[in-house]
Amino acid sequence: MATRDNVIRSRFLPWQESREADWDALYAEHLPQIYNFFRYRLGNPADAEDLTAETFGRAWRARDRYRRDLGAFGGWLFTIARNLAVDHYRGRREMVSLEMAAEISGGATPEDLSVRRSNAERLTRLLERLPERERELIAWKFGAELSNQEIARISGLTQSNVGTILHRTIKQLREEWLKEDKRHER
Amino acid sequence: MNDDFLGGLRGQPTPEFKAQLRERLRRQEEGADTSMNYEDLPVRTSRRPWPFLAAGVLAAAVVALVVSPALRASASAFLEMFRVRRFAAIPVDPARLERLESGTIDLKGLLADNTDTIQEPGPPQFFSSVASAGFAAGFPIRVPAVPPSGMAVDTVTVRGGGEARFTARTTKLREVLDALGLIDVTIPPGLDGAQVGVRTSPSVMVRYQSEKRRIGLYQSRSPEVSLPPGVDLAQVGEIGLRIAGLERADAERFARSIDWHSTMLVPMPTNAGSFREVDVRGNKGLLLTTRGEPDPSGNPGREGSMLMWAEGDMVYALRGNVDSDNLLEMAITLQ
Repeated sequence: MATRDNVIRSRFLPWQESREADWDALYAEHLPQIYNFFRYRLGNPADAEDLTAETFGRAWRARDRYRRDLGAFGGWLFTIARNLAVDHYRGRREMVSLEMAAEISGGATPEDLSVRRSNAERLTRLLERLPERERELIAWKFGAELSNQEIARISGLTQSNVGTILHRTIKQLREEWLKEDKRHER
Repeated sequence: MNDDFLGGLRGQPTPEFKAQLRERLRRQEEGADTSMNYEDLPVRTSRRPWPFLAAGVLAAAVVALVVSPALRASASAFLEMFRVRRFAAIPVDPARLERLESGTIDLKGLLADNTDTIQEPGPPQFFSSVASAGFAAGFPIRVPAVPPSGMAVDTVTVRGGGEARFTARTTKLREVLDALGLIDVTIPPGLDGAQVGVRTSPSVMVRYQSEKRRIGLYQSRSPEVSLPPGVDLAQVGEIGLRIAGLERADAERFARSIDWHSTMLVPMPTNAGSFREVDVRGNKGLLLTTRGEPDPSGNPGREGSMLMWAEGDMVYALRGNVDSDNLLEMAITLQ
């Protein structure tokens, strides 16, 4: 069965011999990326920590298979993160809506207004209004700080589409941000 | 105004969190904590065991792959009547499935008695390599870049394409509906005698095996179906959903929200496991996890996972007695 083994090896082991994995370095590199992806995607730091831990836990179980292909391991991490975010978002959609409703309808105290004026809070609220796809792209771009090419690979969109959607979304966010600035100035 | 405001959420995880997680991962690296459950971290995520699939479902029956050999023949014939673009699942009552399997309902005869086979697919042919199987199948076979840990290719088989024509006989359908007590279901008047042509492409199955684990990777071009004009797929699909056990209101609602030309339904018995939608390189996939619990008759269930998705005009499925993450990992590394 030497022929079959050769075929399998040639298809399954295409990567070249390279350095052994430095898991500490890989962890240090990807942890902020994954954590910030979830910060932008979900808004809540506690949820971001939870899902970051879940992502790394799942990915680590398969780490041996990526010992010589760390680039692919990054892709595997991003895929797990993406799916966890989708699951989480589905489960929490109703709750988030209620939270937003309470915020919109509730009487604002001076303390509330102060919190709302913080940039992080403002950005979180603006991101919550985005459709899921747009929010995910923003999370990859500004949370994980990936290039449009990398985002295209993860999302399945073309690089051109990623660029177009991001451009449109950033413009929309900028306009909303300026509107809020004007409201606060009054 | 620049875009600096968009960086306002970026930050570093707390040092405590970083240290705690790294320590847990390190224990896992050393093999001291291989069974570690990450849910022991303070996870506050909301997980719904039965996520509602708003995109709709299709009245076919891959349920056979999960629970019932008896349903497999009729189910597979039915599901091949569509050009598959996506998969979706719906939880169904296991009692209904048990009844359909019991033999008292002639579901199989609904199709078998009215089928004109033009080309038989023939038995699966074994090949010594993936490449030669791909040559025989007529399309390049994709295999995972990262092989399942400790597993090797066991067999590679190709099944030929097939072609058949089905003639709808409403008397037979009425018998099935009556036997199930579905007397309120209306059969479209133009359905009797309608012919549906089905052409399936060759399919390839690559099986991986280790001492205890097995995984099958299925791939094929999507089946092609020709339907006579005037057939209301949503109405026919609604009948299928009622047969599968859905209440009238649910069946109506689902039937009207589904793209019946492109979506394959996977009925999932509520006692068999769980399902969720996943992303496979930008394509929506359906991931089923079965618990392996015995059915009401005491027959052992099948513990494992199954992942189905479509890419372009190709349909893929992975199934095995492994963790669902293993299947997802294989899927995203297909090349």
